[in-house]
Amino acid sequence: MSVVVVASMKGGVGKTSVTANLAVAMAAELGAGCVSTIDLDPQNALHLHFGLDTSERKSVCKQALRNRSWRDVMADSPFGVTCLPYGVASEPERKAFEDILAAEPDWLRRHLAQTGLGGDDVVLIDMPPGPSVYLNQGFACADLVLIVLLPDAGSYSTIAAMESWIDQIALQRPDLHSVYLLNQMDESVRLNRDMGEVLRQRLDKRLSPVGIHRDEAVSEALAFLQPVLFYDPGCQATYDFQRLAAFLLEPAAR
Amino acid sequence: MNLRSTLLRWREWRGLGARSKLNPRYLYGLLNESGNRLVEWSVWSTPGVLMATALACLVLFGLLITIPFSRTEQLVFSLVVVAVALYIRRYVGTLVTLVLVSLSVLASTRYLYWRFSTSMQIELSADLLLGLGLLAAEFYAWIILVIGFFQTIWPLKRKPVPMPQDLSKWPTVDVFIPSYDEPLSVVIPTVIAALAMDWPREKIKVYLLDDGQRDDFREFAASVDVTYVTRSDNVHAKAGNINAALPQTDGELIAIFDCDHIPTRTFLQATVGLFLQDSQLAMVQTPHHFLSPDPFERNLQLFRLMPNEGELFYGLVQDGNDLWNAAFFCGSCAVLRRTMLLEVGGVAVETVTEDAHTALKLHRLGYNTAYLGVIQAAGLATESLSAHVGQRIRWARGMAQIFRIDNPLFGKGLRWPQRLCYLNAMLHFFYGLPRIIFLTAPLSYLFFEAHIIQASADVLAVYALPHLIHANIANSRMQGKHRHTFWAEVYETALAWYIMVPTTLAMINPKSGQFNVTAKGGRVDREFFDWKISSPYLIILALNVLGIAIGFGRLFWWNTHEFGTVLFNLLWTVYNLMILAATMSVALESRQIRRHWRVQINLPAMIRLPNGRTVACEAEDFSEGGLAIRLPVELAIDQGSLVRISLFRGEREFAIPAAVVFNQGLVLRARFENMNLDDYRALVAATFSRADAWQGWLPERDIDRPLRGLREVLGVGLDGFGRFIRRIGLTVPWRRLEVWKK
Repeated sequence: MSVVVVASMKGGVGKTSVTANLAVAMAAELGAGCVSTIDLDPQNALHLHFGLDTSERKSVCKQALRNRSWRDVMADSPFGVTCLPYGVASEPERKAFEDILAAEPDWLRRHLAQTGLGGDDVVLIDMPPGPSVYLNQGFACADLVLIVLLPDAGSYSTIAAMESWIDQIALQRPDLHSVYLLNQMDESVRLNRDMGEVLRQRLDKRLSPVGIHRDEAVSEALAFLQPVLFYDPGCQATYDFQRLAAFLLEPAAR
Repeated sequence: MNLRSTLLRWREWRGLGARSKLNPRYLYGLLNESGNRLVEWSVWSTPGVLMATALACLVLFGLLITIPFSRTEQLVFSLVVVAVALYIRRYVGTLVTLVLVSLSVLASTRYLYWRFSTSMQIELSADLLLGLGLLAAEFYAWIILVIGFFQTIWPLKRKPVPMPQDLSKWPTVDVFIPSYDEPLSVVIPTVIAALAMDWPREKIKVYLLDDGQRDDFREFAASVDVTYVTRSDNVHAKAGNINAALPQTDGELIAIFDCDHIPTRTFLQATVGLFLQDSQLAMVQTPHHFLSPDPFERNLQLFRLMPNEGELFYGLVQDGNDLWNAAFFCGSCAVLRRTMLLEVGGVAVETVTEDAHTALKLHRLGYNTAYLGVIQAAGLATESLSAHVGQRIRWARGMAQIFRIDNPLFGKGLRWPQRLCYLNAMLHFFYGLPRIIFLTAPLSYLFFEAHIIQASADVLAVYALPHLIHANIANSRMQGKHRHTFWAEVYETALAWYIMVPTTLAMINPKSGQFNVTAKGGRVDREFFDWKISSPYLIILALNVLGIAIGFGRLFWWNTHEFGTVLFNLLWTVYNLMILAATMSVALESRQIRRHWRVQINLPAMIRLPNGRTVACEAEDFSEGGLAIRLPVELAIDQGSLVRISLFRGEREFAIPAAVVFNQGLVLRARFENMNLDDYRALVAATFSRADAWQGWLPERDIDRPLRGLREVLGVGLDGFGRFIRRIGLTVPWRRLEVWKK
């Protein structure tokens, strides 16, 4: 089982879209049922990308509070990806959940081990932006951290903090890989182009060679409760996610 | 249904589309093994053995050339030798090539010796004079054949030398882009591509050498940070232009590009390594590659189907020259070392082919030149037949001038292989007169019963046929990939008349004649027949047709006693007619619809639509004006919509603004719109200046199959006749009566 954590320092960089669409692209490569996604972001938006029912009562948060396994919570989507939503949680419930996570640093690892997923399976975990107990859980058990950036000054300014954090974690987890991903790239916008160039120079090999283009189809797909790969199979974003999946699934990259 | 499609279909039907697979036994067979063993035989290293063997071979060669045979003996001898050649030609290897070449030289020399010693009349008469003319033409052809073999016997095929890691060792480079009257639009991509070449920024300077003193050029140069250089006069044309810029610049190396030759970004890294390796190297030349068809290719609709004229030169001759350290400078797509160029007084100005003459001067000083047969730049071919002819006239005149004022056979500093290579380059341009003689020689018999060859047709056949057969076998082996036998005849014939006069004049007075600039980037608006260019050939064609008519009279009524001679002359005339007819087709200028030539590419691309949506697609071809896109699904977008089209180079993306001009099914065409300088840079970087832009441009063509070439030329000839007659029909008023159509 490979665990990929999708993170960012800043909100609104399209992290949840990346998680959902990348999962669908990976499932197309590996086969339906081989890719699972877990939403650890209290915004609880991931399942929307798969068109899953929002009133689903079983969810990560609820199950954690009842100290139950995830096995019967996983919801199959029509897109070949299994999704475990964060769930609708009241403020006290969220607090309580986060207390559990703070108390047991290996909580995520333990639950992942209990899922019974095979060696070739991939789990993608959507994280809330910035430092959090969720992200600490992810760092403890992930194989790869995918850090989503926008080609703008805001994202650029967060890189230093992200890097020092990752360096710190590398002391405990030297086998943890990290890849930066440029999202919503538009080469025809001067600022995008220049920021893209600066990021490429700064991050060099740590930046994924495949970026995701800005594409209205991604937002439209969400409105139709679909991954973009199904909503518009011919658009550039679809193509980018397919190539990103292929890149990340290469043994060398993993 | 045009000629091109017919030809393609015919090839497909005959299974000739694909290259035949080489049987491994011709690679590793007994003959190759024994050949290798012979070459590696230890006896050769014993002193004297090699010399003695060479001497013995020479004696045998002389004997085989001069020994008189009866008709039957000559027939048997020729059959055996031809059979040997036909058998061994299927084996690969340079040794086999050398044997085939020796056999060809043997057969041709024996033929010429026989022609000289036996088939000439002795007493003075008109027959003798005409006969001498033909003999001289044949002698010329023999010289070209033999020196040509020597020149290309072992093409060097250099590889680029990698640049050192240490950037401080990289020399400084000045890039010269001379222009005289070309429009700015032709020059812009070249300048932008020159700026985009991979080289340390502080070590490269680009100069726009404008001989037209044009303000738009000055403004453009300033906008892209290129140094603009001009002068008050235009003395010595391009050579003078470059020389005038030399004192104002200081780079160690000078790269020269004609203003319409767009370099790839790898040009300097590929060529400059050679200078670091060889301190005596004065010049590196790379091929001139044309992304548009020349008038032959366009009018015969054979673009990229046949090797064109330049391909023999850049594909084979220059690589052959390089072995003998005699690669020529060709004026563009080349790098020169400043110190050495200054030593010969800059670019030569005495002749109109300043490039070849400059190389000759460099060689005379003992410097080396190199040829790198990797396409590193591309440009436009001449547009019309008349422009093409004008350019060739200039080359021919210039070569004749050098032959007169700085003859490579004499003078200091050259080694004899270099002398021969230069001699061939110059003699080559004297083909005008000999070819006209070959086109008219049989007529002297058919019209006047002049016996210019004093031999019966059967004896002539047993000597001449082996000469022709061997020459074709050897040539198609050495040049097969770069030149197809009978097509080359068409090229040469079309130019023969026009080259004949200037070469002769330049021989008489080398000072006459000026530089004419080759017009490019224009367009032929409608189909027309170039009467002016083709009139000499029309006359020769008419004479040949008349000759055939008379020939039939002689065959059946008047000269039945020498049936063989009549038949021989008739067949020769028919062959000439075929070549002439194909030449006529060239003069029928086909309409050229597009201003920019499309270059095939298959690149990943993206369209960004006005609503923010995108389409991942593939670009199929590009030109300076626009792009053709293959869509994954049909797209509802109106003509005229403004989009952004991105082309990808690896993971680099280049976005260019464009407007949709055509959208049907899965094909979309867009025209570049509102391009600013940045967009232009992106376009050039994604297309012309790509490192792999011209790789795989030349598909693995079929090697030359002379008989097939003959049939194809015949087809083109017949087609040319047909089109020509239709064209005459259209211009004759009475045929225009609409009644005929109804």
